[in-house]
Amino acid sequence: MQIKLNKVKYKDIKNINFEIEDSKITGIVSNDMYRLNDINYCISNNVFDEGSIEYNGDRRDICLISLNLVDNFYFDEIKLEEKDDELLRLLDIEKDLLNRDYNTLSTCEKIKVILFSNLIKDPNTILIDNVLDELDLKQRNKIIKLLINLKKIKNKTIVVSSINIDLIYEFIDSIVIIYNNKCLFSHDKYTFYDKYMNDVFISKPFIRKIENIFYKSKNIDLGKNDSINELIKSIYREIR
Amino acid sequence: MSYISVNDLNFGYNKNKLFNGVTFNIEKNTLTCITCPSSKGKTTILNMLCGNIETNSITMSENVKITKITNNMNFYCSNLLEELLYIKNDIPAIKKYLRQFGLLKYKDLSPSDLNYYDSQKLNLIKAILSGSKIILIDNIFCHFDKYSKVEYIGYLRKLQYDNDITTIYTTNNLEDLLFSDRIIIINKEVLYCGKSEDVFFNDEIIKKSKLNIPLERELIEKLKLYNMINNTTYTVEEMVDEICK
Repeated sequence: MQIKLNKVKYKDIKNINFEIEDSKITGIVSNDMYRLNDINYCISNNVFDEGSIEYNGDRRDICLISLNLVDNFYFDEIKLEEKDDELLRLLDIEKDLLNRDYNTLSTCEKIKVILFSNLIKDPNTILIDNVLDELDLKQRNKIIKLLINLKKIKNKTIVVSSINIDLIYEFIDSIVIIYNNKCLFSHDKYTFYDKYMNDVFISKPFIRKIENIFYKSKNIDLGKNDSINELIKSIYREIR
Repeated sequence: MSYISVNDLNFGYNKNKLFNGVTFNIEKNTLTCITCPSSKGKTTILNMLCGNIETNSITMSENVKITKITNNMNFYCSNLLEELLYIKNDIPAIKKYLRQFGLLKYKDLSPSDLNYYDSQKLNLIKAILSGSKIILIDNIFCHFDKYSKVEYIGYLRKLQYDNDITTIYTTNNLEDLLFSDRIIIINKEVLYCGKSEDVFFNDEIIKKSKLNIPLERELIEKLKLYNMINNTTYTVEEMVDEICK
């Protein structure tokens, strides 16, 4: 589902203009977790003080998995079907976990249960709000792998929000930067760095920084890389 | 006797055993980091330390107030001043801490209008005003940018020296360990208990603890694996020079 925000104002965030592309993964990065909560809330509930949000589809087909909801989630009893086994396996959830008292689950387990209970309803658009930061590398990679598969195989539209750009940079298709309550940039994730290279307070992807150092100090163009592994291949190709 | 003693802690939910004979001590006026992989007991051990989960394995040498700070914010009043007066009726002390934490200008604002970092500073002020001598911090640093993290640790250090406060925080991230005086790494049992600097270069412990490592370190380790650099201690610029030799 394509979603377009036009001059949206909500609480402290002002003049937010960006587009979430259909069947792509959009990353939203900010220096404040609460602004990310607000934007995700706006999108999932069509709530704002000014402006408008256009949905190219059914807004009820959006699910929000937010850190805010983790401790306040009402966990309905889920009747498992055979087709759910694959999702349980991908999320590394044992069936026993679903029968446990929700309040005894860890934050990571709660996040996975909330994700599972939303994904079995097969939503078209999935908003992941600040939850990846809470997880260790292994659990985070499982969820990222699942999100990438949902995009590629099931054409889901996914929005991932984090204050840490390096956490999401590798797998997102486009980026939105919210800084000090304003939407600074919304575009191709490769071009935003060039524009904000000198602004110390906007977190920049580590990979871009390394590419820039190679270019400025050694005049070596490593191209545009998404991950550490790609960067190393480019280094090897150019240097050796 | 240590300030906080955890002795032969055994605990789990249903068949899932979280702690198997866990033993460690925490001294007074220290900043200690406890880390474990996801779902292996970070929040549970803090709940045990603050008494939310009962156990006979934890003893404290002094009977002191403990506050736990989490991602959940519970604010009750319409502005910061009232929120803090609700905790302690001492306006000079409230203004002193608001000024110290850079929140005095927001004293008439509603707590719900603060950003996440300022909200966590408010939680810290509430803990101090309530007379807490032990502050438990449950995995909040992953939601701070790097500047906020360093500043917040600065506040905790000041409280440690000026107010005799002992702080225990949990994290998943390797770089957050460096802020502490001491680290305790748990994965069912205690894998490591000691200084933060010693862990940073111990690859075996880091692998077992499943900590999130910074991208700089990941890059350096992979470059070393492919024999593109020899030394592990690099600034990024030195690493680039070494590669291009």
